[in-house]
Amino acid sequence: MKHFALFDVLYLGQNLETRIKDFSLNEIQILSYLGCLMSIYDGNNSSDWGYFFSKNNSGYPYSIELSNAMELLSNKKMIVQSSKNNEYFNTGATGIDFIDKLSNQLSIYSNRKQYLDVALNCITLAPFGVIRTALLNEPVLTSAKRKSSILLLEESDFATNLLYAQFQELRTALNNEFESLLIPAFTWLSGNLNHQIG
Amino acid sequence: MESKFCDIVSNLFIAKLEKDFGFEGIERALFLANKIKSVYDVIDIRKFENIKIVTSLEKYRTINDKLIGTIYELNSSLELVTFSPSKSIFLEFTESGKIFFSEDDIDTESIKGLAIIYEKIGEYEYFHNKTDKDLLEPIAGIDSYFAPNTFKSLDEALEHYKTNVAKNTTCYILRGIWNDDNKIKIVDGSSEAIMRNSLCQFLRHRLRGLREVMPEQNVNERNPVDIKVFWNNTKHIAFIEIKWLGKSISNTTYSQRRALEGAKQLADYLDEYLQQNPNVVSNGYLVVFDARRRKIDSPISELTVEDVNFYRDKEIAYQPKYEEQRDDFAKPLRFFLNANLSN
Repeated sequence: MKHFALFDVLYLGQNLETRIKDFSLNEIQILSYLGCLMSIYDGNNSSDWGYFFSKNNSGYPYSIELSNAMELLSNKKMIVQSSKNNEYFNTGATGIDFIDKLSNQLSIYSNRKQYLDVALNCITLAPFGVIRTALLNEPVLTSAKRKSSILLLEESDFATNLLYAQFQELRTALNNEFESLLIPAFTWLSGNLNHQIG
Repeated sequence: MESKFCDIVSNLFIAKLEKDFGFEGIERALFLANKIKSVYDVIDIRKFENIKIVTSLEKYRTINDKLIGTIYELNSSLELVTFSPSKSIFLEFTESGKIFFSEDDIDTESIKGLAIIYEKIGEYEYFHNKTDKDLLEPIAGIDSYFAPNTFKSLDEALEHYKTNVAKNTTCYILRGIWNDDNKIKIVDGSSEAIMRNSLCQFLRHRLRGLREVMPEQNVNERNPVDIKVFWNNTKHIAFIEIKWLGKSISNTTYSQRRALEGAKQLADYLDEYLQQNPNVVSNGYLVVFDARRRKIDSPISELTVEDVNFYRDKEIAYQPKYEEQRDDFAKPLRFFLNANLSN
């Protein structure tokens, strides 16, 4: 079990709750993947994220680590089902205590929090469905739809290189003029959607 | 060649906020966005012609003392906002939890540069920068960038689309079906495709747990389905068949028989699909956009409210009632499209 995955589920889950009342594994996967891409945009390697993503049968980003973390947290009652529909969860009291301790005491999470926050702030400033649609149009996921290979963001993959080229183009266009990572995030997502978001 | 990203960022409201107000401007905009959502959770945003929601750039300062109008402090409840009869509302939120409210049309020009100002005029949303205001590019299928409505079930989403989108044709894509602002006759040719695209965008942006919403080209009566909805992590699939009733500008007329044919086509399609895909759980939805009007060929000036609303409550009598005979057929939905005689 990767501890980063445990942190991400609880951190994203708790913050998703304040925005859309509850959360699903699928929504955690999407936001974590967006956070990972923003970390790459910021100059980190995909392997720095702490776990890998593959593509699931639906063509969505999927990490087995996040899935295992959800299962463990559910078994420990740190997250609890929010409704009869067993797909959606809320953070339980013990989960909230745990994430508070992790956030405050362990600086190893502070770096990734900024990228998770970018993903979360995207859905503060625009509807989740719009961000999801834009993300699904990015080069790596688009290319993965047509492939049997399921690991995403492999360095040797043409689509990963296409993503890196996009990010380089984006950096050039923004010319270091902005401090907030939300600006490259929205600009890039709008480019994927071929429609201005915001 | 200039990058497409240059164009996008030059029109991006948060980019302008950071340029004008620095990183703090973004932080304050995020604070304000959460407050806008809390307001939109409790009001019907369509009720208001002008909504202004602001927060000071200085976290713990109020800004409303610089404004002219009757502005009063609320307790923590937004109940007064929910039931306000005014067409214009103004709200200020502070970091310390204070809320100020006005039902006057408050002019915020004097606080430009001192506050983050969000404004909704009709269906258009803006964030003000120091000198101007930036339009948030409208997105089909959403009422507002900050409207909270998302749906876990397709039934719930379709019900919302019926009442909040189709009824008064509030989606800019769907508006393309009308010949004029009176919304009496449908345009020819592309109207069904327009309805399909509008509903597709709505579902794509509002449904949770979604894998994909696919518009289909219905090439013949054996393959009539307009939209396929796939769910994540399940073998469920929903088929949506769209029909419209009413009259087009070139006199194509569809009566309720068209809806009955649609129901039969969908049932046949579901049978065929089930035979070929026995492991998939499929559900069929018939969606009828109803633009029927009594005396539709009369000059618009002679049409009455009774004429244009004549079919509003006239439900279609389906025979057979597939939804009672089979588990995979939802109760057909009729979206009555209001006309507008005030133009």
